[in-house]
Amino acid sequence: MIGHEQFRENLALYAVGALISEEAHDLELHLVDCATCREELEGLRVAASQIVLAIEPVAPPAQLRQQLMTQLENRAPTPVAIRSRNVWFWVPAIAAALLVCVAARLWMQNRDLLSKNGQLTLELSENERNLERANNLIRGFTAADAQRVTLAASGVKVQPGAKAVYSPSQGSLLLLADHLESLPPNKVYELWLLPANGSSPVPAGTFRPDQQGKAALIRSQFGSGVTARGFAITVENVPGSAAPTMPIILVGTV
Amino acid sequence: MAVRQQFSNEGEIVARLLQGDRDQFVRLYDEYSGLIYGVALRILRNAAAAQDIVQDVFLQLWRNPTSFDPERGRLAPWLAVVTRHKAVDFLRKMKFETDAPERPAAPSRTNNERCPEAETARRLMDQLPPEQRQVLELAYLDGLTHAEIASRLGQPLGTVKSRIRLGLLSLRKEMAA
Repeated sequence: MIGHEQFRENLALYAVGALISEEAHDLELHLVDCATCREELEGLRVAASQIVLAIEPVAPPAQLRQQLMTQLENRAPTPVAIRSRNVWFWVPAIAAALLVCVAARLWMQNRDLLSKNGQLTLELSENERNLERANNLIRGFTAADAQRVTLAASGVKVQPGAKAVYSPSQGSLLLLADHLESLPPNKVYELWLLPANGSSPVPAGTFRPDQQGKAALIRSQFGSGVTARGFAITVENVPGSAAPTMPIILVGTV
Repeated sequence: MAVRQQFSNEGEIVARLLQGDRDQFVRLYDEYSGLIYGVALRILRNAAAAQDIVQDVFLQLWRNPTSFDPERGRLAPWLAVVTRHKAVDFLRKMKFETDAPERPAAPSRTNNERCPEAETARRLMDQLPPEQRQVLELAYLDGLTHAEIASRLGQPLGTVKSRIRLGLLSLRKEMAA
């Protein structure tokens, strides 16, 4: 009977797909119960990615770009427009679209699992985690404690604006901003959670607006149950700061 | 402007794709199509099949942007590994007959020249002993099992297994250094 050490010896071969199917299947059964091997495998997979990442790039034929754009016309996702007044309408739509995409992918891959070898068992687990993340997003945006904050410009002219939805219990955060001024390449906007207990602002992510001044930021695993009294946005140097730099561009409280 | 420079947070790329931002998608294509096509072409050695893989990878990203999780890693390695999986799956399913490589004589490096992850990976692979690099590439890029590699190279099975382990552990160690 193969023991833990033998399975561990096979992890590197598994990570590069070199095990025969029976060996791979036995190892996958072991991985279900062995967190140590799962963790080591994750590191070996990252290492294996270097093999493929080292391949020299090759410019594809120019017509491929146009062919792909044509495919997009036929398979366009439902656009999630960010509007200054009715953005809340799209919040469940974003989450639902996530759920539908992940669920559809799961269904197709589950069907393939019937005829594939045991390696896909691990992929199924990963898809289930994706589905759980999508469900978490939905629960977060619809939770009773979801905090909806409207942020407004601190100056006289109310031009830029942003809306944030944050659920401490679900760890989900959504920010939709509009009419933001463009920034030089070395600057980014940074969102800050202002804790209700008065402690220091917590960095919640950086972003840059598009040409229309719109921006979106989605976090599915943010915070550790910290209740917010509000959010603020500042301009920081790339890649972002650990503490906000004055002035505050937008701020809002619960 | 390069995507990497424009977005300090790759989660923002996902958010933009979820909004159906085609300009963002086009920028991603211009940035990463060379990487993806290079990987697919290396594995399949067939231009038409490699182009199908490129379309498949980008359509997956367009239709399901959240399949990339920025909290688990960077976009370039993720795209490279996804491409590898699709190409090797294709190779195994179709028992693809590898014809002569159809690469351009001088591969373009314009797309990924500034990709720091790729430059690091090339440096790490160049540091490996040739016999370790060879077995890693035969397994990961050509989809061969340890037994098939041993048969092809005329080497003992234990030697092949050992080289794969040593090579991958060396890569992991150098990445952490």
